Amino acid sequence: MLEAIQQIASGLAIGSVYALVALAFSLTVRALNQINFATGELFMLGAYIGIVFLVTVGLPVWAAVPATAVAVSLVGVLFEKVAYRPLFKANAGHPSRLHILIICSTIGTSIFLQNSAMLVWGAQALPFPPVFSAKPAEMFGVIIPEEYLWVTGVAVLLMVALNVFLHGTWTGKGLRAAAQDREAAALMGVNLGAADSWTFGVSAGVGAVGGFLIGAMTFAYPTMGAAFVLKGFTAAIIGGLGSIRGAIVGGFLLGLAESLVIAFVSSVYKDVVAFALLLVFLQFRPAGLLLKPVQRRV
Amino acid sequence: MIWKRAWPWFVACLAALAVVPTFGANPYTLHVLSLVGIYAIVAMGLNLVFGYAGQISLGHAAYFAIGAYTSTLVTMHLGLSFVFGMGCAILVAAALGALVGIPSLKLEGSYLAMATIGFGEIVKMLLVNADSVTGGPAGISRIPPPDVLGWVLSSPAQRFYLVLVVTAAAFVLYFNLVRSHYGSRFVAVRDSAKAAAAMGIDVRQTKIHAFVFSTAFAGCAGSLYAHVNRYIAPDAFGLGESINFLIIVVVGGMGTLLGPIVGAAIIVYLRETLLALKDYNMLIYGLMLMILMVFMSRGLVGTAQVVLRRWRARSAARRELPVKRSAEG
Repeated sequence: MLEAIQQIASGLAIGSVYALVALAFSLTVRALNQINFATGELFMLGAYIGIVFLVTVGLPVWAAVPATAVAVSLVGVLFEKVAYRPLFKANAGHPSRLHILIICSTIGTSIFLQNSAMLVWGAQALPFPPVFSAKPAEMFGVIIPEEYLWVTGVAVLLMVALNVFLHGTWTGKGLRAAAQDREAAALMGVNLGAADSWTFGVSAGVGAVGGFLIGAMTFAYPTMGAAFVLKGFTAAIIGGLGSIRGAIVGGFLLGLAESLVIAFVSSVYKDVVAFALLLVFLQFRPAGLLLKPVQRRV
Repeated sequence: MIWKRAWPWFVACLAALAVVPTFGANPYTLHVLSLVGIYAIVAMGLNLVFGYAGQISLGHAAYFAIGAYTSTLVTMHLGLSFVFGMGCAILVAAALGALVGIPSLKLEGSYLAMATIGFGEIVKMLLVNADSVTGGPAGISRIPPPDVLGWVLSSPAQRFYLVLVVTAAAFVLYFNLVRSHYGSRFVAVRDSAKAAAAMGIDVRQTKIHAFVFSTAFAGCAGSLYAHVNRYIAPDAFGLGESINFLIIVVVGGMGTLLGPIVGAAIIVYLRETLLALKDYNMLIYGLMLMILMVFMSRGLVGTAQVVLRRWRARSAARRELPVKRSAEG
């Protein structure tokens, strides 16, 4: 039983990171109806740039996390300007073609970023400096590594901040308006170009914090994005792709499901869980748990 | 363009390719050219899905793998001929395509992309783990060279001719499919599902037909790949390969007749030459992909068509100008 509770704690910590990746996905999907296949690589950049800020610049942890988020956000904005907007402008009248082109372009970006990281930082895993103490903390008679609490805490804090940003600020309200109805938002004075840049930037920043947290628990390595992309996407589908609350719920549920499978079945099947859930949800409830199923036309 | 007008060009191209081995092309060149043909077959099938029917698949490496493994197992364990193996490969790939396509094609866009990725990864996991049948991660080596009616094609030149013949046959099928009434239903569904349904087209069935055709093409190409390469392993059939197929179609030109062949030639050539750049190889590949998408979103053939049309319109206008003036005067 105690072991199960420990597994749940680790599931919540991993789940909070899945939730951040799912949020990164959902932000671009709900605003632009496009998947950014480079989300995983922005996540990976978060881990490497985190190391740069912690070790090379020598920032303390509380400053390194926001600095990483801002730095990777700028990469996300650049990405939107270079690889997304020209395509969007040239193919606005052809949704099915635009969709495939965006997939190709974001995959190209992801190959480019992954190999850049390999050239700059090497193909081997790069260790993180000790950020969160791994010493066990006792809570309610259960012993949990302290870093799990830190990771979950930082992730939840970021989710709250994102919520405040989207609901409490003018920029956030503009983003939500643009996501709901682009034309109406433009008529109300929302600058759509700026809104797209903000969407990519915020999405990249959220993903980068996820990468930072995973890096702090393990290592930074060039292919770490690919490992988390499918998990993050599954989490987004479980909750409802494009829904902010759905991404958070889906992330925690997936983390818990994985940890329960490890606790009660076997760690061999850990990665099968995400696949199985992804396929089951796509076939039977593609709208996820929190969104209303849409009546399909035709 | 209809087949009656196109076939002289088609025969001329085949004749030009047929003399390549006699001009002292080395085995490496012939192997690379065979790969171009194999990828072109997959890309023609996928173009039906991406370019003509407007759907997405990021799991076609799975059908390519199913074709390769089916054909290999049939020829190696049952001792049947290559032609029979290829037939089995096509049938099994098409049957699995229908099995996956029927439930999946109700999904759209990003959802469909992810469902097909999921299927592709499951097939790859099966290939790695069912090692009593598939040889596991090490794959299967010493696959027998292809044989046609008892004649064993042991040299690279002979195998190149085999690939050429199969690719040509696939192209004839693909050409007539795309240019037929049946094929124009694909385009109708892509451009507006609602309008197509209003014209009495069964949208769901049309999408499934396009998908099953493309999986059959992939199965056929997989069978060729196994016997030409004579070694197969799960690593060659992952998500990376599915992405590669997508890139071939998009770089050649989605929804253009010749796009798949041009795309296959360019991408296979690029991959072989970029290998010389070692560490920078994939970096430059990714960068080129981004640049191509931004500046040539219609693909090479699509862009060429636009340029040609503009040039023709301009020269036509130049010719018509004096006529118009005299009419006005």
